[in-house]
Amino acid sequence: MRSLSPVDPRPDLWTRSLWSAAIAAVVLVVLMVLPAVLSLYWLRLATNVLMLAVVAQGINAMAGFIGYPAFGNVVFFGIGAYGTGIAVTAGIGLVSALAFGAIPAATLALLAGPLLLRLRGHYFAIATLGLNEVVSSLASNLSGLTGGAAGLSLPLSSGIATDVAHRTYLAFVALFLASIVLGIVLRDSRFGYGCRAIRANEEAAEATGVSTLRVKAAAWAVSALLTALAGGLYARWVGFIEPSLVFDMAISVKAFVIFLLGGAGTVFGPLIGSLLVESATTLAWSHLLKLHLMVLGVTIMLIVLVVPDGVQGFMLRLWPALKTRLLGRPRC
Amino acid sequence: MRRIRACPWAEGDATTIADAQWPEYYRVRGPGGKGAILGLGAITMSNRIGRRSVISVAGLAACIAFWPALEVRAQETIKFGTALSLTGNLATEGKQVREGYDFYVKTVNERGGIDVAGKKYKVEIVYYDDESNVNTSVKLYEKLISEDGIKFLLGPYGSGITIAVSNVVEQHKLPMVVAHGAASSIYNRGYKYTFGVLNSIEHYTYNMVKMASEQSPPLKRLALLNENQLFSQLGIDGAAEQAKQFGLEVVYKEKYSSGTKDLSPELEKMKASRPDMIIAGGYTNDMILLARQIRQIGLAPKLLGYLLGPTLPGFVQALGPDAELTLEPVQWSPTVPYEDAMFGWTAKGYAEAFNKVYGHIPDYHPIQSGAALQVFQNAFQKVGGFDPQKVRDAIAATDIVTAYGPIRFNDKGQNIAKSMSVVQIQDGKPVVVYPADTAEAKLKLRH
Amino acid sequence: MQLVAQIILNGMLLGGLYACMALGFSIVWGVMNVVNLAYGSMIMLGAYVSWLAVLQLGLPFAVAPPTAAAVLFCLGYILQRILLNRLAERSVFMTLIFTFGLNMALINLNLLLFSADVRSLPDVFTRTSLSIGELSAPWSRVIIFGAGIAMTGALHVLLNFTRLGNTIKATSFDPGAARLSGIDVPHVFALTFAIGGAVAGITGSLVAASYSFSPFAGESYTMKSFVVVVLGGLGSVPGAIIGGIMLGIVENLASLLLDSGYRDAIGFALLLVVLVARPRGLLGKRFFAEVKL
Repeated sequence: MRSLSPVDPRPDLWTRSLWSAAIAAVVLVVLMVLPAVLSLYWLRLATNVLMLAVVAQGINAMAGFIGYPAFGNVVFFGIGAYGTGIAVTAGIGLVSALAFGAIPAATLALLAGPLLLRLRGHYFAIATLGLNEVVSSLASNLSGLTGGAAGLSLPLSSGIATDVAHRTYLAFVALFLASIVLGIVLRDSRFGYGCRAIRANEEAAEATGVSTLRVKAAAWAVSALLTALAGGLYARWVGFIEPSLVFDMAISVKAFVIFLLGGAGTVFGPLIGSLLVESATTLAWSHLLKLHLMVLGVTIMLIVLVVPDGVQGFMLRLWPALKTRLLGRPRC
Repeated sequence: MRRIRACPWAEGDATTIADAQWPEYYRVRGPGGKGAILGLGAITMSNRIGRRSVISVAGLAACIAFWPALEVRAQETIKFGTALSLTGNLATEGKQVREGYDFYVKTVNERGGIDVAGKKYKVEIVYYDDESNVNTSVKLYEKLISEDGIKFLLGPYGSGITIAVSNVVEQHKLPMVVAHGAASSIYNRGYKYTFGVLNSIEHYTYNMVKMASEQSPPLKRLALLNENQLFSQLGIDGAAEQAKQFGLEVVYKEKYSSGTKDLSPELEKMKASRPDMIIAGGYTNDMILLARQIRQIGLAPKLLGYLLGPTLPGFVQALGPDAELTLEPVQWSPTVPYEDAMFGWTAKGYAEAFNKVYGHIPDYHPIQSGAALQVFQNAFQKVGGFDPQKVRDAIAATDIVTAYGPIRFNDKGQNIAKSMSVVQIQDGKPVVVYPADTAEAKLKLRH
Repeated sequence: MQLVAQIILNGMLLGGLYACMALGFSIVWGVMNVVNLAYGSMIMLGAYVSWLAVLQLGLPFAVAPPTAAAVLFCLGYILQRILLNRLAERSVFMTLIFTFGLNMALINLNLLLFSADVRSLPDVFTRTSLSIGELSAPWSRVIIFGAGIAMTGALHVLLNFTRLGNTIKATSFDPGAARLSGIDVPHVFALTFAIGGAVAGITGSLVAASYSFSPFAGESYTMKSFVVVVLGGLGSVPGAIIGGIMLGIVENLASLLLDSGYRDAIGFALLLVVLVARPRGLLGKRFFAEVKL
């Protein structure tokens, strides 16, 4: 759908999308080859990287594109996990069960969006934290539905370990691909343009005809959907969930750090960030037993201080040649 | 012969405790080793040729060619794997768990190893640290199985983590014996490859409630309070079931939010229900608060019990006189009247031997760890080999008596032969008061 | 009826603790727009410093709050001056993430130095209770409540009746203009954070004396502080005590009349309602509710 205005501000729109699609295809090929060469342990790590990349893309949609720090986005991860978990335990097949998690999450975003998206900055962040705590508390107390504090145990996936691991991995690859498509859409479509206008200056965007509340709510709903699907697949993967596990703030923070490191408002940023963070985590844990919390904490602080616009931004600052190669990316 | 380290990159980043005990693992023996020595000798003499590349290629070739010689050595050890909470907020318990495993390995290896089908095998355990994190632990068990090739697993610390990890071992079809995961929900799913030597959480308060019903006159009104968290919830639900069984009436049962700083609304409601006995479960900080507020509110139950707390460091010190006469169930104490069929010592003997090595009398964690390994040992000896399926079947048929207690699994993998003792804090120290054959002192009522 | 009154009184006293927690949090947020997720761990650090002073060095407890305050004042000053000041120009979630990382580092530090064991300072306050008519209030809680009021009063005086207070407020309204007027803005920000740290230190020593603490126990303090600050209103020092008392009473009544498991949920639901209906809270100034992005 091309713009109706006489002067199309983004003449190279589709070229950029095609480039990103090409990169995505290459990444996909690499991902599909991995199960054949990696042991189950490394495959598990790779699956984790993909899952976090998806959650970070959800954060990217909020903080990177519309500029609203949804610190408590993990609430959708938890809703997705519980929705899918309850459905799978009741005997429903995985694909339909995922809908049981994703639809409530998107609905919550659409209902709470108009109320909470009127807040900005810290207030919005804290409101989302509050939302997460409320839903988490409900999950702990409604034991008839969710198992309460004792958690929910899903029936074991049938099949031998290798098959199950491969199936899970492929499911996450599919979800990751969806998140990349979302990223491309956000970056290159008119809807995405509206998002970035909101991030740059919300009043001006409103003045130029962007219906900000609707755009924001839609962005949050999509972010919620993505995050909930990740949560649902996670529940099936690990096979056991409890409120403190799937509504854990640490997931949000990790996703935020990945998002920061990868670069706000980029398509592949979450994947880059996820790879870096997971490698750092695994290294830190295996070599610095007693200090690894400290190392992670210091690393987070350093990232914020030194590379706040992420790896891609960092490279852009240092290598102008790269800048022109990325097809004149506008800096908001 | 000089000690040579062959293929250092072949080792993982595990922390093996075997290193200190048998350096000969690295000593190259047999024709393979001699060949490697000759090869290295030849290399040192070839100064002219690009030395580094020659050494690396030759070293690599030597390793590949002579690896079977080293394999022979590896077959004479049995390897176990586990993830422990060595850092994080369960580090103290994690340390005791590890001491228990290490003590077993030391004892067994000092006696020449485990005798299986006439051959002696040394024992080695590969440890990783999961910091009590579910995702990390699951990842590590996958690593133990897929990368380190471990076939026999020991459970992690904590119920939630054990549930998640049991999924991994069930799919890989490898046996795991759990020493530190008590939730019934671990075992209730009917998995075939997970077994627990300890009493399940639901069983924790069994003897406390039974003891209350045996007082004269028997206690009748029970109040229950737990933190809204897995372990406490399951334990207190168990107490409610036991109350029915022993004829006590549950007059109050509620849960409180984690981290609450004022339990007075809950306690006022509890006071209104006039309980004879209170049982509570939750994080230590909250339990300390509870004991204080019970006094401040003027609640006067005849018995006050906790799922966990009184025997943890800091509890008695924090509360002083408010900690007196509180009860707690324990999995084991040095006073239990069992003699170990494998090692020959009594519970007291174990405690003394442990004390000689580690400098303190153990609580129940170390011997529980050891019991899991004893289950495996018994299974290996019954099977006469190491086929994981046969070992699993032998474990399911376990029927032994150890210094920890008798071990016999039901069809869900729970140990139903043993029960918990009850301790009471008297004069600031925990003493066993029930059951009678284990007791060191008499139970004292608070009022 | 007496039961309800007692519960409300307990809630009020609990509110005193909440107010102590929230004061430092509120100042730093209101003046510098920094949400300090490491605040709970700073309170724990104050508790550990007090524990060291009393149980390891054998000093009387009266020395502990000032000592903890001094240590955390210095720590806060250094932190802000060297690290956080660099984030002053950045967006909101940068400081959130940064302080989260700081929180992890502080928890690890406490773990390394003091292990995970639960600790407390026994026998500091008398075990008896104050009688108010038919109601009773444990002395330890009354003292914390008193400390909350005292610190609120002191900060109110500082901010409104001293030159330093005026400087702080001016810098908060418009750092650029303050700089132009010759105010050393980084120094003022650092001082504000340091004051927040000192409040955390005093709270920590009181927590050590009345409750128990461990490295991971700080989380619940941070989360509650959010709710109190939003309720009472940002940019308002008396708001912290009003918000604290309100939250304490609401929580206790909710626990009494409903299922106790919903205590936290009620608090956060209240947070959401306030944010949606009246973001500036009870006593907050309108200015602070408009976001300084």
